[in-house]
Order: sequence, then C-alpha cells, then structure tokens
Amino acid sequence: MKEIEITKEINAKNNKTLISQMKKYYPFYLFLIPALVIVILFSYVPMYGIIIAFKDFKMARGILGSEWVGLAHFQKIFSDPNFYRVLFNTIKLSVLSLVTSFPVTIIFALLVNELMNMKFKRVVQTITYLPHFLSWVVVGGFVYQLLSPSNGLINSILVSLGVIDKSIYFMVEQDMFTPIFLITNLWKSTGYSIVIYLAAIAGIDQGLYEAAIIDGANRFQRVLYVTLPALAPTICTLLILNISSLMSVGFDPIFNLYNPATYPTADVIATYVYRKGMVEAQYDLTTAIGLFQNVVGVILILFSNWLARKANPDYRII
Amino acid sequence: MLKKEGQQGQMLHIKKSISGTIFDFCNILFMILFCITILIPFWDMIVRSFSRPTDISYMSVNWLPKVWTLDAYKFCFQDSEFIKAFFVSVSRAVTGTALHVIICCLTAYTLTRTDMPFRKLITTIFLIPMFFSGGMIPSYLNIKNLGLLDNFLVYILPSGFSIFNTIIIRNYFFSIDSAMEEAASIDGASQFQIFARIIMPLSKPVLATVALWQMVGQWNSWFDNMIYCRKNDNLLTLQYLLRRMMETLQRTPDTPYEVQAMVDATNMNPDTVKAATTILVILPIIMVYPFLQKYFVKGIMLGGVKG
Repeated sequence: MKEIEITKEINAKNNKTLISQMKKYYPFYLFLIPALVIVILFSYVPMYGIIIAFKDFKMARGILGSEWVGLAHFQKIFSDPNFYRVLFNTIKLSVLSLVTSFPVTIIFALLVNELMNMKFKRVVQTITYLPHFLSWVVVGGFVYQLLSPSNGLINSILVSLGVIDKSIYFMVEQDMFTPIFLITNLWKSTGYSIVIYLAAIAGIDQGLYEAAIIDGANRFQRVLYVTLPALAPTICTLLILNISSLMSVGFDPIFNLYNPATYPTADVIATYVYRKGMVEAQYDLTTAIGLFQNVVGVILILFSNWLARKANPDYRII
Repeated sequence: MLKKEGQQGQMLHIKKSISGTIFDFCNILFMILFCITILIPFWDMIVRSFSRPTDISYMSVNWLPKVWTLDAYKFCFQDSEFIKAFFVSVSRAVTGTALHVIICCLTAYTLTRTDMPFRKLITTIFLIPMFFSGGMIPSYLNIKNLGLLDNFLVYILPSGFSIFNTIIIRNYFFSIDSAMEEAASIDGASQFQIFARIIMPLSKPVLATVALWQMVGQWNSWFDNMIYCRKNDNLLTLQYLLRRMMETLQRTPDTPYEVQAMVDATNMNPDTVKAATTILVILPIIMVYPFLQKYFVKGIMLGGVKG
C-alpha cells in the first residue's frame, strides 16, 4: 500500500517537473513549429500516401475512398519483364559507378597529395571541384554538345584525325550509354570527392613519416605503408556508406543523359517510375514500384549500419 | 669499406631523387591533363556562344571563334522568356535560401538544449525522412492535394528545412561559449533576443556555408519545376528552360526541321543560343565560386563531426 503511494507520489513529482521543464522551454517549442510543419506536410503526409500502392487509386475518389486491391500491383510488377530490365540497369549502373569512382578517387587524392608546389595544388583543386557545383541539366548539355554528330568536338577531332570517316551519334548507341554515364560521373564528382581523403591525410601524424624516412622508406613505400593504412578507416566507412545507395541511381544523371533510343540500357527504376507515373499517370502501380525500392533501400541502410558498427564500434549513422 | 658504403648511400640518394623527379614530372603532367579535361567542355561552350551560327554549324575543330560576336547573348537578353526565367531563378534562390537558413537555425538552436523534454523524440521525427520517404508519386499527389501545383511556394517550402544542415549548424552552436548566453539572460534578454542578437552574429561562418550550399542547390534545381510547375510558364526557371532547349534538340537529331524553322524565323542557330544560355546559367555559380571554395571544405569538416 505504502509502496504504491510512494510511486504515485514520485510519478506526480516527475510529471510536475516535466511540465515545469516544458514550461521553461516553451519558447523553444515555438522555434520548432516551422520545421515540424514542413516535415509533417512534405515528408510524413506523402508516406501516408504510400497506401495507394495497395489500392485501385482513382483521382476522383481520393486516397481514402479508393478500393483496396491487396498485393495486385506487386504481382503485376513482378511479372513485368520491363521491371526486371530497369532493376537490372539500376543495380548495374550503381555497382559500376561505385567500382570505378571509388578507386579513381583514392588514387587521385594520393596523387594530389604528392604535389609539392602548394600553389599548383590549389589551382588543381579549384579547377577539379568546379563541375560538382553544376546541375545535371548543364552537364547533360555539355555531353550532348561534345558528342553531337553534326558539330560536336569529339566527332570533329576523330574525323579530322582520320580515326573514323563518318561521325558517330554516340548518344543513341545503346552500348555507349554505360561508358558515357561512368565517364561523366567521374568528370563531375572526382574533384569533389577527394576532399574528404585529403582532410584525412592532413590529419596523419607527421612523426610516422619521419620514422619511415629514417627507416629508409622511399616516397612510394611511405604512401603504401603509412598513408594507405592511415586512410583505411575512412575508406572502409565510405565504402560501407555507399552500399546503402546501391539500389538507387540518381534520377538526375540518367534523365539528363538518356533518350528513347538508349532506354534498354539506361532506364533505371527512378526514371521508369517518372515515365509510368507522371507521364502515363499510373499512380498506384508506380507508387508500388517506389515502395519496393524504398524498402530495399532501408534494408541496405540497416545492413550497412550494422556492418559499420561491426567494423568500428564507435561508428553510427542511426 | 666505409668509403664504399658512403658512395653507395650517395648513389642511392641520387637514384631516389631521379625517380622522384620523374614521378613529380609525370604527376604534374597528369594533373594538367586532368584539368584540361575538366575545362574543355566549358571552353567549347564559350567558343560556341561567341561564334557566328554559320561558323559552328558544320564539323570543324574551333579552339577560338572565327569571328567574335555577341549575337547569341543579345538574342537571350531580348527573349522575354529568358528574362522571366532569370528572375524566377533569382527570386527562388534568394527567398528559398533565406527561409531555409532561418528555419534551420531556429531548429538547431532548440536542439542545443540538451535537457529539453522530448528532444530525442523530436530529433527522431526529423531523422526518419532521411531514410524513408514517400517517393515521387505520393509526393506529387500530396503537392496536388495541397493546391501547390503551379505555385511559387512549391519551390521554397518543401526545401525550407533540412535535418542535415540543421545538425551542422547545431554542432557549431555547441562550440559557442554558453557564458555569453547566461549573461544576456541575466540582463533580461528574451530567448528570441539571445538567438537573434548573440547566437546568429557569432555563427556567421557556418551560416555562410549553409546559405551558399542552399543557394547553389536552389539555383540548380529543375525537377520541381518539371513535375510541379509544368503548366505555368510564369514559373519557368532557367535550368528548366535550358532543359527544354535540350529536349528540342534531342527530338530532332537527323531531320532538324524544327531547328531549321528556328534558324529561319530568328536568323539564329539554336546551338549558339543554347551555348549562350548554358554559359549564363553557369555564370552566377562561377561568381560565388571563390566563396563556395572558402567555406565548403570547412562545411564538410563540420559535417564530419557527429554530436
């Protein structure tokens, strides 16, 4: 009896302190209102809209009024060869861009770090970050212009050198899409992605290098036995983080580089959802595709987070 | 014996420096080539934008315009659609950035109160959308239901808050000495006054970083224009204008009737106009570039610090 009363008393006291704490902080709760309104209105309400993936959505009846159809949309998706094509392209392009950009970035960071002239180093960095700040619309424009069959620079050079005798329309060649996409990606992002490595290199204890010099290590050996091992945690973390984005290739790069002629090799889930959903107005079906991609994405994030914690217990994203 | 060793050592040293010099030379050469690769597309566009239409309409390698002309730029500035799009882009960049920075700062300041009730819960509410989102179609239907289709607000409201930038700002706020805040509150300043008069002015570096990022992001965005404001030409942004020009060119690769019609109608080659538009779209980014460079490395470092 007594014990219960005491716990009741404690609870009441806690409630009081909670309320008085909240009173003390009431201006701060007001500060939160705009952000909460935005997040609820533009992030959580669309999440509720996902239920149309399980409904026969009719615009006139609204989200609630439409009829439930269970997993019918998913059955339709998984029996559609087009879906497997875009799924394959998504995984292919994201894996290939990871496989190319990851080593290239590390090698490039090491090479930039070896530049002895500080002024030259800064100029190189200034020039190579630049493409990161351009939109994919502009970058897509660059690529189409450079590879244009009628007056593009690449074709003009190849023809004037006699490598080819008739210009090639690269952008409509299905087999050319993947290399064009990968090279464009490297062109745009390499300069920017080295920054994080350069920062990690700058944090390495100089004493290690001095010790290596005394032990007779040459420059190459110092990179191999001091810099790379010191970078290993950074490399590992970034690699794990990249796993979580394996199911999604950004919409922007694909959309600004592909065209109907290259759909078979270039179309990915995001662009397929856009065309089926926005252009053909198949809202319910494409929501189901988006949900599938989203769920796989969350699983990959949880998996990579688990992996990261295993590799380094201090590390966490969630 | 000793002498021999000494000689060997010297030889080794010389050998090392020779291979080192060769490496340095190759490395510099490689970096120059890389920089040229980055710059060529820009240069090609600049040359095209200053060329006469007839000079670039056939296959030829032009490293400089044969005749310099400003015709393409004049055409852009006389085009009312271009002018309108330019103003839409500028206004969304300015208002969108201001709104974003203010909302993120208010939220970040609140999240520095470590003993505030429900802080953890609120942070979780903000973090979940980073990992799971409604997706393209539900977002579109939501904007439609809210009546924001073909409305300027759709450019600035959904991007008005980002938890990522908020955490960066919050980490910076943590580094500000709390004694100053206490002193102000003893002097009778309200929470909002402390925030506006003390915290904000002390956080200029991080605010500049976030503002520049957001400004570039706003200037570069085109997707919201394409799906949310397709029907209202008064809300056309520069990026989407450029995108539409590209689409016209993509549609007519071999039989350029449309292109020919444009050349006939305006005496202008769409390629030079497109090049001039591209340059004008990039120009503001190049103008803020020195500031971007100054702040964004710092920003990445701030982002790396987890609190």
